[in-house]
Amino acid sequence: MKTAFTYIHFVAAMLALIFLSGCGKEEGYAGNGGTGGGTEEEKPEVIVPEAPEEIVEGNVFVVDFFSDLEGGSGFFDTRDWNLAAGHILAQSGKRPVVYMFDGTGFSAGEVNPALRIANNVKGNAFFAQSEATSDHVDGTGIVTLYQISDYDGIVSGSTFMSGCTIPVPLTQSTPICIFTSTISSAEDVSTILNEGKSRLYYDAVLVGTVSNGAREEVEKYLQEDGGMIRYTFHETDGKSSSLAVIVPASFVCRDISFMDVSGFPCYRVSVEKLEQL
Amino acid sequence: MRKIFVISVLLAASFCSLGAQETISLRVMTMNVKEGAKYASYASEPYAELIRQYSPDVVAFQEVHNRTLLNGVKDWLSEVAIQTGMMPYFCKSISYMGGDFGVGILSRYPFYKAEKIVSVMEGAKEDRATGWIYIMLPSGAKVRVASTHLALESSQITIRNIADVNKNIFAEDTQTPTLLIGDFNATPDSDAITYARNKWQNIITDNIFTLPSDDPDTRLDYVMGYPKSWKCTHYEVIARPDLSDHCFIVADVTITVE
Repeated sequence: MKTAFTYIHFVAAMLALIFLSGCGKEEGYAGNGGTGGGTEEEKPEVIVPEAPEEIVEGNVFVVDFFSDLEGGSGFFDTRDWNLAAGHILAQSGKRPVVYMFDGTGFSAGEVNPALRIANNVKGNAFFAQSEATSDHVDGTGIVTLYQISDYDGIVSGSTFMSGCTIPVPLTQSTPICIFTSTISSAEDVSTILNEGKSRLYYDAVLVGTVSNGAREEVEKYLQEDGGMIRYTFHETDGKSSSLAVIVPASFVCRDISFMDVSGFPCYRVSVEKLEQL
Repeated sequence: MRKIFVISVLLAASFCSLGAQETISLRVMTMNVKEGAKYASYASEPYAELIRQYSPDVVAFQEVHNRTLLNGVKDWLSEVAIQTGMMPYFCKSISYMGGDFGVGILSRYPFYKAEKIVSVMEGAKEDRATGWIYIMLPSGAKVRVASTHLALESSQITIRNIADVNKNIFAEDTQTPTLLIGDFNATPDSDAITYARNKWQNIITDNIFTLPSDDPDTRLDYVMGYPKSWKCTHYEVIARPDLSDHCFIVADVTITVE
């Protein structure tokens, strides 16, 4: 009896140690976006070379990003998806490689607008969620007329990033993953760069949004710890979010221009893959 | 006093350990739709109607036609997706009749990642695709669901196909609970299924038959899981000779992971 009681004491002490070491742990975000530092020591300075001024048009591709820049999932509530399909079918010349419809929702059992559009234009559809799964999920619908070789993405805590790899028609057809994400904190962008760095530093670009309330901290993080990436924010007066473009250093965002497409607010993002830096 | 301390610690430790487990529950369905839905004249609605009736979370398709001359150059899987309110993922095995032939997946929830492999095996008449999607469930748990249609020329070729699937699906991820669903083109007592069960759990262990649908006496279709701790709480073998020569399987499966 005395032995059994001593054993219980031992087990309880072990369990207490486990309990005390496990509870109250806070998870922070890695302060270093990709240069392998993050310690108390001085981090090596990362210098992203200036992009050449001359643009090689053959290496420029375009993404049309449709968004109210207000979040939520009501983008198609008062808009006719047929008009979006009409816009896609009307493109000629340097056509967008991907069309993103930010602020759409995915409701289980209901047809996603991106799927309707894709079916109409004989393209392929994808839905990039921006929040945890439920019967209704906010996110971005994606349509492309190109063959999709894979869908890539991360879900980590409250950070979501997804996209598709397509053969982008540059001077040489080049597989590039076009990601999207709704960035609401520096922790989001830290997670994106740390968990997505195998692509975001090489052969992927991100076109998404950043909450204006977090923009300053996100920008600070990208400047200090972003590593070999370039970023561009495009703010529109009176909106709660800005357009965010993050590309590897071997790419550069050349232009973001706004278009009103039959009542659809659209940002045309032009990105160049640099032949040399 | 000592008793109170011990009990408190045990209770606290139990609470912490309970929070670390999560249970994944899914309703899955496998549908070999026979040559692109040929039995239904390549229509999508009869299959969509059946899916709506059973309301699965994920459907794994085999023998899907995508924009072939036979099916009227349509994206059949996307049609079913629209008719069911699910998201599609098509994986091409081969080019066929002006379009593509392969496997597909429909998901009730958005998937954040999807991959596929196309197995090329010496001696096989055609290449074979296996595709999988990653889903974050409403519980927050992540699961991976794959659709496969294995080679049938010989047991050894089927085994090589399984080996190729295993090598690729587990190349970078051996942690996420995974379901491998579809037409294995092998009977339960075959060398191929014995080989598959080295890695995968045959979740429905009852002696069921899935072929031919008008009088089934053979089993070629499976719901397999990894790791080997899945449970099947309910299943049904659905015989629809008007839709396919294969019976379809719908199964409620669950796993508890740390």
